[in-house]
Amino acid sequence: MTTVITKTVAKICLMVDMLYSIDLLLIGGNRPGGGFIGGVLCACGIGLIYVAYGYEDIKKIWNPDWHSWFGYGLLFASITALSPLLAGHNYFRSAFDIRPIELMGYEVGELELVSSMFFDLGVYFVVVGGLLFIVTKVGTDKVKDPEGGQ
Amino acid sequence: MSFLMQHLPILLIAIPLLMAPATILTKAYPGFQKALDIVASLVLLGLSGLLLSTVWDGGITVYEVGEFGKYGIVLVADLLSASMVVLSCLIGCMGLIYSYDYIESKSLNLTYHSLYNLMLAGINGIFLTGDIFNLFVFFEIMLLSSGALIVANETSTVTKISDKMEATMKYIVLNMLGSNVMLIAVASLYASIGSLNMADIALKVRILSEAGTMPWHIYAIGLLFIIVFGGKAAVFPLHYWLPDVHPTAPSPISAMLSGVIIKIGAYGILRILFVIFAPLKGVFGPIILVMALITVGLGATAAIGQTDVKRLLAYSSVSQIGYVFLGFGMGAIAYEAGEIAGAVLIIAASFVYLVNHALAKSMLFLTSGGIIHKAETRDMRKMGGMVDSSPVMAATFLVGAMSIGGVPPMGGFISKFMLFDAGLKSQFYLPIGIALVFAIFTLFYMFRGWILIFWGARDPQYGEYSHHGLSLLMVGPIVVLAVLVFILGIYAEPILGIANTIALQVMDPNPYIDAVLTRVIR
Amino acid sequence: MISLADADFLALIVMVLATAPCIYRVLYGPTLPDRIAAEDAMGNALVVIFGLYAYRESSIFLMDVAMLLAIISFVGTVVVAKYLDKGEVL
Repeated sequence: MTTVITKTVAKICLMVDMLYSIDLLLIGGNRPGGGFIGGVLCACGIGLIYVAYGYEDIKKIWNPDWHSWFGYGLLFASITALSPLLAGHNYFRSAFDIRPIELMGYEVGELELVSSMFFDLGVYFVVVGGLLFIVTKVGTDKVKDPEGGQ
Repeated sequence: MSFLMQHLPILLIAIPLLMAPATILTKAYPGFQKALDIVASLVLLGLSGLLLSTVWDGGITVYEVGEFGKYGIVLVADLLSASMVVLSCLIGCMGLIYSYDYIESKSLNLTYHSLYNLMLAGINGIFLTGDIFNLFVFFEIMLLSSGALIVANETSTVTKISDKMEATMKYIVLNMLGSNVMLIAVASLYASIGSLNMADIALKVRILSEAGTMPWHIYAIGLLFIIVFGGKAAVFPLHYWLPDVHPTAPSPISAMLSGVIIKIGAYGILRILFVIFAPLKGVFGPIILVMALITVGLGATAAIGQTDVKRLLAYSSVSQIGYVFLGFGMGAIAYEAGEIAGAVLIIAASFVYLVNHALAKSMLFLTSGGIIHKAETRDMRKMGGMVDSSPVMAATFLVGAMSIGGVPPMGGFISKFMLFDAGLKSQFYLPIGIALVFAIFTLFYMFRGWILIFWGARDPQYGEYSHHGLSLLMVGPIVVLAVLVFILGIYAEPILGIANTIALQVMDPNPYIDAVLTRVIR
Repeated sequence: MISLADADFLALIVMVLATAPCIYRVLYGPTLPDRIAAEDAMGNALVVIFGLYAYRESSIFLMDVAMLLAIISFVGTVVVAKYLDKGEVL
């Protein structure tokens, strides 16, 4: 538990953080960004909430198993990377399409659809799960025996 | 079948990468998890054999990852890569079977399987990649997962957790320094050459050298690469981390570290200095030669006084990798002096040496795990007379000791004989003389260890040997590796043929460059 | 006469110089809070450097770097501040 200022700022920060993290995830593909740095930002935001409100209190409301987030993310990324093999292409091959967005008969912009986004999504979950698993494990670690031992 | 052949190189990396999350997610069903991992490991072994036979029959195989075009990320399987992959898959499979009874079941269930698979993916990626930045990425995957594996809990409690923590800290920090040096080297190479594709870099370096406009910093970059791979392989000024890390790791991981991971340094020297920086071989040959000779002497001298069985084997690894690097140094100098045939012989000999040492040393580390289980200590002075209760371990340790020491019917004899013979043919009298002296040291310390552990009688104050020595799952891999060591000694023709072709390919990088740069782009 | 093109270069130099005392304080700061404050100030200076450099190079990508650096440096400072205050992080 910390002061009111920290809590308020952390709450506001979480919004900006998440928004920017999803933005980075989506613009991946052909600009700097992507799943890794988006995941780092998301983990930063959640870690900030853990620090500001205390791990024990957050645990009562929302306590996912970050270890399995890591596993599902890696599985998703691996399967996405392997899936082009079924279509007769090489590993990691990405499909790409640009679709115009139409609004009331006018073309207002275009949408870029890249299949490597799914791979990035897997990486995102790997990074979020891995980082928060480490944070929660190391943060709640109690020193039992200074000599080590079993 | 054609689907399999088409995607063969990537499957060797993709299957372990897929198995890593699959073994995390099946942690609720330990039996299924174990079966899944062992099946995947055997499939991997089969695929690596298939890759070796494909490359042997059909020449260099190039696989485009992601179909990015001519200079995209490629996987290149030439004979060197394919045979190293077979080695890593074989020792990895044997180590995995062994660890089912050796590693504590909770540790095995939670993280061991997935980290082991990630390590295998990293090692196979290092051997197969044709892109120098990808080499760095796979180095990191391999480094982090093997660093986490060093602290895996064993069923025996001989090694304390605090020691393991210290060892893994040392391993990760010192190797991370090496990785940072590699990142700097790759970045400066890209800044001065403008490409990350190994074949393209090799071509451009050769053009620069033929035009006589080689910038001076290419030499500095080459030296940085020697530091990186020398650090991985634990060659003299950078060997200090190995004797602490290899003994404290669990035995199957020691076998992987000593059998495959330090060989990555040797592979890197062959790939980077002999293929990419081929025109600079003459400059770096003497440096590697001197480093290797000091390593041979230092490792052998330090191994003589050791009382800890795994530390003895670790210092022996330092000494033996020195012999492999001695071959590389001599080969580079001989090539520069114009003796192409002699250089090919020397490189072939050091490749045979590498394979024999990998098999024998991983087998010895696996056996030492059984010895530690039985004696419940790592101190050889507190052992003795173990031959009565465990003749299998005595026999396999003897096979390994004979192979490392270079006694005739084993594979180690062939490799030592070939190396010294090829060196003498190219008139390296002084280095071979020094190496011969320390070969006698090798014989001495290996047999001293064998006598201390298995002969005589145990001092009664240390109590009886415990009954749980080797289980059947632990004996199997050891016996398979011991038989392989023996076969490589009495029927060495296939490996000599492969080694000769590898040496020819390494000495002449043109087929490699042509295969990558003039391929049909999908 | 200093033109506008030189002015941003001047600002860049000043910001780089501003990190020097921070580095001194991080290295020799007698107490931990000194070092943390100096590290935070250095992070802010780095954010400004990235922003100025992005303006100079007319590149939008470096603004991403600046924003990321700002967020991560803020989180780091909060974590260390809580550690100094309570003696534990989570």
